Amino acid sequence: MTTTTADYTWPSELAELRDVVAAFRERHAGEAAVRTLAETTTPLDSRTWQIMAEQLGLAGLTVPEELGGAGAGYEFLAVAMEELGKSLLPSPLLATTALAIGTLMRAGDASARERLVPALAAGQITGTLGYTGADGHWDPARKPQVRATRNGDGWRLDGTVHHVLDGASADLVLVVADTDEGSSVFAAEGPLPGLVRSPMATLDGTRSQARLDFHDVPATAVGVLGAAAPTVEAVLTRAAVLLAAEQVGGAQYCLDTAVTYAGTRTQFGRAIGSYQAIKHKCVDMYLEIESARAAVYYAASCLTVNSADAEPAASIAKTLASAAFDRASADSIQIHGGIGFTWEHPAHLYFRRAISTRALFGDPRRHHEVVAASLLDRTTRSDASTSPPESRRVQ
Amino acid sequence: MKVDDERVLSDDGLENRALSFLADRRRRSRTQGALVWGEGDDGAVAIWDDPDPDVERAELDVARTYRRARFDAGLGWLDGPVEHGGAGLSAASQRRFAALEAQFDTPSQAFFKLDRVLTPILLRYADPEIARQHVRGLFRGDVIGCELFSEPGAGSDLASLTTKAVLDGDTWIVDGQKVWTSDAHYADIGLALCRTESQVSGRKGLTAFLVDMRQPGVEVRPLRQITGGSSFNEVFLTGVRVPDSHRIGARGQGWEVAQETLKIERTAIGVGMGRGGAGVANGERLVALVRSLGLENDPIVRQRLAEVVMAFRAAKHLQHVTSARRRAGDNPTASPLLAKLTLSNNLRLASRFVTDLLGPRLAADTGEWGTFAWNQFVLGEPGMHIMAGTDEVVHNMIGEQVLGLPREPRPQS
Repeated sequence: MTTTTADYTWPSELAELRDVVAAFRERHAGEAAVRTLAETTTPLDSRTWQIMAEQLGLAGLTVPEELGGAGAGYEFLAVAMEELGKSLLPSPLLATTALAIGTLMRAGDASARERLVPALAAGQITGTLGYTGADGHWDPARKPQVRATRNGDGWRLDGTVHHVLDGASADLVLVVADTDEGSSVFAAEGPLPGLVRSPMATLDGTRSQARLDFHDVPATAVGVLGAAAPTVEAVLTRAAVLLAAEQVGGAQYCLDTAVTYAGTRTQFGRAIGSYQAIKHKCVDMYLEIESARAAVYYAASCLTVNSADAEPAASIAKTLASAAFDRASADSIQIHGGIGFTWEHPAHLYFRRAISTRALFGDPRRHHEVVAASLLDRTTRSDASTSPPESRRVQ
Repeated sequence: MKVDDERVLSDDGLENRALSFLADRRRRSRTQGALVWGEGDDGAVAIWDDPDPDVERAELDVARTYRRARFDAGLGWLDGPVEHGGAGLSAASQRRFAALEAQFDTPSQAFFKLDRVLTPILLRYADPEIARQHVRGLFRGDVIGCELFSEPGAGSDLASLTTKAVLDGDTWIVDGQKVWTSDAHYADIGLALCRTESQVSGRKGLTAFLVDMRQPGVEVRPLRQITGGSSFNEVFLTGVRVPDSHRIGARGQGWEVAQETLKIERTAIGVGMGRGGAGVANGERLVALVRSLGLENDPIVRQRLAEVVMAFRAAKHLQHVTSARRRAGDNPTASPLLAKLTLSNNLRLASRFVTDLLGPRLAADTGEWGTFAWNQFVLGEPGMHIMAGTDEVVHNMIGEQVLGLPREPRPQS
């Protein structure tokens, strides 16, 4: 186990970005807007998306300047995601940045990158990545259910991917497909006859998922054939940190509203927040949120500098943030009492987001396993080479 | 910031002076950073000290000799004010020296752990002459301090304590009983919280004093605790005479003095002065334990090990963020309180894990290194939830002071 010695710095630009995103959220991401979008499953209007992508520059925040982005560290995108996580505005940001841009930046394909990333970074097109089977999990050892076959200079895709974020609306669909060389990444762009997009019914209506059926759909290969697994792994590591940041924001919202309510609602002649049973619940929420937030910032700074610790750090951030959001969203309902259990109250929207994001980009069990492997497996291998004599063991 | 401080240390030739001081006296630590299973003290996991009195006395002598030499070499208190024997450098210089020192096998300075807790209190509240006499001694190892706060009838509710101090001329006569006093059996001075205004109940009638622990009327009895050992004492104060010059703060200001002391102490515990710290050392030990038990491929053990280590790492991250915010000029008031709860929670998590992991080996000693020794961790763990303000009291403080929740209704005082 490594002792973490990353330098935490707090550039004032981080706080500035947070303020700007908070102002956007207050103006454009109110509960009414969120509910309308969630209940009608219409995508975010293009004007609001333009504000996010063009005026705030969120889509291209971590994209290098030569590709039209701001070239900022992951801490910045994490702060933006955290702030946006306080509201549940359905937007193409997560899929476009974490999945589409993330994949193109890591697939080692300069021409695809130069062709597609600037448009994504500017918000002119949105994107996503299809990489999971029906169970919603990623397993590099498993053969994708989409098959790519050569067709002259290009490729044709046949098969199905499930649980594709924004799969029904994304302009650019990246997909992991099986080839003779192994799992590879392909890009399907524009209106595509033969691609059937079926929105899935989702527990969290603020984040859409779709099943995509490919019937002889033209596509281009991205990166080296057979190299999808390490690309997807790297993408999911980054996506997990960004999602964890969003979860911290969601949890913070739940805590803030619970504290406010507990300070004003009276029962048996006093504010319920004066009872230790309620007060201590709020403090436990707060402690988990602060821990998760610190872990997210550490993981984000690891991503920025490409630290060897990035993978376990991402897993820790995602697990802690999932737990914090899980607790905060459930306890917020409890503290709000009966009213918190009604459809009219927003508490259930956060509860839904907490449950669905817990499973997204690796559930806690998988991330626990990543951390366990970093502790036990790596060292086991090095131990094997310098095996300690048995006599060291005191009987 | 970090760079600047390193320059301070090296510009003065301090870094070289520090290294030559250390190299002259101590050998480089062989085990630094790496745990070798089966080597060293497997009892190092204990949460509370439980020393054999003779061994402890010998260790204290060694620790004191080293501490005096370090102080006399100008390295004992780098970030302390010059007029009190410090070197007048920054806190970062002190950290830098501590990092250098950690590379050597130096005697534990745990005997003197209240130096940084009592010093700011003395400098702020004590008669300047009294402060001058003691502060230097705290850092040179001439004076060891303890806290005489808790009583059998007043733990977290210090406002209800009953030890009395009555003024007789310019001397106070102290009578009462204190309990849970760490270090009292070798301490030279004790910061005692007493009731001075008999007609005023609650916190307003309290005053703090610096008590000479070597004088007649002070009787220290070791208190045997859950772990079977003794790291705390009962202290009986019978007609103990304390000159008014040893009053710490004004009459009736004792509550504030005690709260400030506890605040500093919690910060110290949280940043890892306590044996468990953020748990990094114990994390390594748990990994080694899992492997030595042949459980490294057990999926449930892997999940739970990850859970414990994640909690340790989270505590570490929280600490780093806190210090970054401090350096940036922010003062996160919640952080010592959060650190205390984090430590309590993490030790509980680790204790449950190690209990399940060891099973029969924890119930009976098989003689195997690094197994039964964990009993001192598991048995000591409940104490961490009580010390320096119970977890419940800390929850109340965070809820009210940080989150701004309404106060628990309190009886009039």
